[in-house]
Amino acid sequence: MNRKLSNKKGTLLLGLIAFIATGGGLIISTAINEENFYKTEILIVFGCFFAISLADHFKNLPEKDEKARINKRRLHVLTCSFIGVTLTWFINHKMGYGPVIANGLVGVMAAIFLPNSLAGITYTSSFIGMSSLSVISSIGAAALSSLIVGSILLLTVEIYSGIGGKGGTTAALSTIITKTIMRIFS
Amino acid sequence: MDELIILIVSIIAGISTYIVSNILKRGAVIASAIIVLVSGLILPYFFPTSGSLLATAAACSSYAGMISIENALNLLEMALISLLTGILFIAAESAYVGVGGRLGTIAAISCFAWLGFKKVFVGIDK
Repeated sequence: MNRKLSNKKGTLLLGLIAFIATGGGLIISTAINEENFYKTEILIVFGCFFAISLADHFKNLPEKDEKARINKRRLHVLTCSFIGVTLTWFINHKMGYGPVIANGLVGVMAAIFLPNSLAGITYTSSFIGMSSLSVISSIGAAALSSLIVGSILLLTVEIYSGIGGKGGTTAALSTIITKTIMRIFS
Repeated sequence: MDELIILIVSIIAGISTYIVSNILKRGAVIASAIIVLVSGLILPYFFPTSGSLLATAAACSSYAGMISIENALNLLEMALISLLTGILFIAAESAYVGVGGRLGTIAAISCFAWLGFKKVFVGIDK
C-alpha cells in the first residue's frame, strides 16, 4: 500500500518536473533571447503566475489509489501514440498539407473513431507530428518520438487533465527528447 | 495591425472551442480539432499573406479552449485566457521554433497563468 502511494507520488512529481521543465524552458529561453524589454517583462509576469498556479494545482491533486494499468491499456496508448505522430507527420510533410490541417484532420478522425481517452492521447501525440523537418526529419524519428510520448503519457496521464494545452507540454518534452537522441546518434 | 488580428483570431478560436467543448458538450478533442481544421482551411484563404500564422495562432488558442469548465467558469474567463494565449504567442515567437507541442505549451502556460492570477487577485479558487 505504502509502495503504491509512493509510486503515485513519484508519478505526480515526474509530471510536475516535466511540466516545469517544458513550460519554464519556453519562458526562460524566450526571455533570454528577447531584446524587447516589454516582452521580457510580460514573460516574467506570465512565469510568476504560471509558477503560483502550478504549485497550487500540484498541492490540490487528489491522491487516487489507481489500480495498476493492464498491459492491454499500455498497448492501446502506444498504438494510438504511434498512429497520431506518424499520420500527422505524413499528412504534414509528405502530403504537404501543413501542420495545422494535419493536426486538425487527425484530431477529428481520432474523436470520431476512438473513445475519449484514446482520442485525447492520439491528439496529444499528433502535436509531435506538427514538428518541422529540422526537428523530426524522418518517419523513423517520428516513430521514436511516438514511443517516448507514449511512455510519458503512461507515466503522467490525467495528472493535469482539465488544463488546456496540457498535452502540448507533454508533446514538446517528447519532441525535445527525440531531437536530443537523434543528435547524439547522428 | 497583424498583432491585433492575431489577438482577435485567438479570442474567437478559444471561445469557439470552449463553446463546442463545454457548452455544447461535444468533448475537448473534437472541439479543438474542428476549430484547428476549419481555421487551417479558411484563414489562409481569406488572409493570403498572414493566413498560416493566423491559423497557427488559432490552433494555439484552441488548445487553451480545451480547458475544463471548472477552471474557466464562463465565456468571459475564456476570452481572457485566449487573450493571454494570443499575447504569449506573440511574445514567444522565437521559442521552440519547429518543435511540435510548442503551441500546446503556450496554451498550458496561459491557462496556468490565468489560474494563478485568479488565485492571487480574485481569490476564486476551485
